[in-house]
Amino acid sequence: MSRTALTSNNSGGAAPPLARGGAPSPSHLRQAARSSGSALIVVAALVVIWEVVAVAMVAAEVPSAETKLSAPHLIAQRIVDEAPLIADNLRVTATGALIGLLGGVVIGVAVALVIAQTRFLESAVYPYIIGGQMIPTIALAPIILVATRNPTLTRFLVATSITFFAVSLSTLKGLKSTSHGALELMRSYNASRLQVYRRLRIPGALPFFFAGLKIAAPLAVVGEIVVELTGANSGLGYTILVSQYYGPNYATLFWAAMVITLLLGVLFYTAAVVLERVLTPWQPEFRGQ
Amino acid sequence: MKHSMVAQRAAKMLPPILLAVLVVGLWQSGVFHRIFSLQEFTVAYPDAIARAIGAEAEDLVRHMGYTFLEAAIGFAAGSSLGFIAAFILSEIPWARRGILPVISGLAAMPIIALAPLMALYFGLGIMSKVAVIVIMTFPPMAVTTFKGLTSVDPDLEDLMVSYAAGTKDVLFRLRLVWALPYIFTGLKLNVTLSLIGAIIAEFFAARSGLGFRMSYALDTFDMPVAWATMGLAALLGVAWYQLVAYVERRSIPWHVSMRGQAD
Repeated sequence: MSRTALTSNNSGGAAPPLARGGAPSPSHLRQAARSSGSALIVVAALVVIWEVVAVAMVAAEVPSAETKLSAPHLIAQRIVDEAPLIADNLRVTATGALIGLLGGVVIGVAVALVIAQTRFLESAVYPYIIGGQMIPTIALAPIILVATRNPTLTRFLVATSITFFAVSLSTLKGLKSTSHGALELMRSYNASRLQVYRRLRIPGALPFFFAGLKIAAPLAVVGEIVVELTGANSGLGYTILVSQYYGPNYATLFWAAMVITLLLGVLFYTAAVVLERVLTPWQPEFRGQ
Repeated sequence: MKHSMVAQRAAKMLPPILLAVLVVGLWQSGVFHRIFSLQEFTVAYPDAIARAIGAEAEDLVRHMGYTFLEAAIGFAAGSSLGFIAAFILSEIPWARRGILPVISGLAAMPIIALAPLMALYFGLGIMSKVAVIVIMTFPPMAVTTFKGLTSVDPDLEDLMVSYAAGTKDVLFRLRLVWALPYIFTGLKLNVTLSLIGAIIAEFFAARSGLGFRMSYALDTFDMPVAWATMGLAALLGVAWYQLVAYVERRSIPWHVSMRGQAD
């Protein structure tokens, strides 16, 4: 989502910390391990607080306490009990998000590659790609759903359109940020346009592309959830909605679906991070790790 | 000089305007409808949407104002909380190790899934929307501001210390100023997030707002009005974003990202 973060990091003068220290040493690794250890402790502490508050709310006889805040152990129990149901809906949401994300990536990269070729096209399209980040595009989901009466198509259109903007903008920035020195060098060796793209521009654009992908991946999940919350009849968002209305017996299912949904966003983001590390291990940030 | 700059700007605006005219023209003349076999009663023509806006202008502007109010309150509260959290974390190194990853994780979560829950907690009032927006806008602001506060060039800090600058001076004259571009990045992200949060949360519990009106229009299959609410939401998003971008240009004209953008 931090599309503009790209600007201030990569083209901006505010150099990120990685410019400072050179290649991260093994101490970097140790630090990362320690950091995730501490994060786990924080998460565990939060879950304990959650548990205590939830139990206290039931004890204090807060109206519909279970729906307002289910206890983590009950939620976990429900996830186990309803594993097939949750898995089915998780599959619907995750598949929709993944297909939409792929669509957004393919179209976004294609558009970036095409409009990078001609200045006229770029100047015509670029303002709208920028504008895409100012507009609450996701709000189109319920309209598209009613217009098409086709949840599957709506899922695809919504997830694709919101991920498109993040990917095309970052990729285009990447394609345009090739160093002039390197370009001159390629030219002096009489490299063809295709060679320049294959060997220089595209590899150079990859870090930007991944910055966009890390924004787009969780957004794809948001798109699916909004489609499901506003009318589709399957998926985790749908499970959240119906289990809220089915009454107290479904309170823990309501929370189970919500927790799985939130974690799905983290999963998509993490997948993008891992993919970046695997495909661009040469980035300064990752060197020596 | 001045004259050529105006001409340059006009030349820059021409291609996007041509594209807009082309797209609206193809839409209005039904070319898109034929290509994608769309129905007029589902995907309204631009003139029908414009008529819908004209006919219900007063009503729609009221809804727009309400959505903006919700979004602005949530935006201000969420962004402030994010800023405060980032500031505290940047001051307490041992706290950041565990908490910052958790906030980053929160930023990747589809918080909008909490909208029905917030409706349950806060009902029809403005709080049910504001709560969603606060939770949505808090993490991005915390992450970007933290990055800004902790990425200060150490040489500059050394320089200030060597001039016997106190902690307070370093904070106000260097670290906060250095963090400004990052803070604006967070604010710009939060503009769109606030509007999304407001509009979608209005689907679950609201008596007014663009999302509420959209939901009602969709229930009654009043498609031109539904498209009109989306158009107004887009307009609101662009205007608000431009406002933040304007304040940014005024506040940090020295930053590299702003060069050549002075107005």
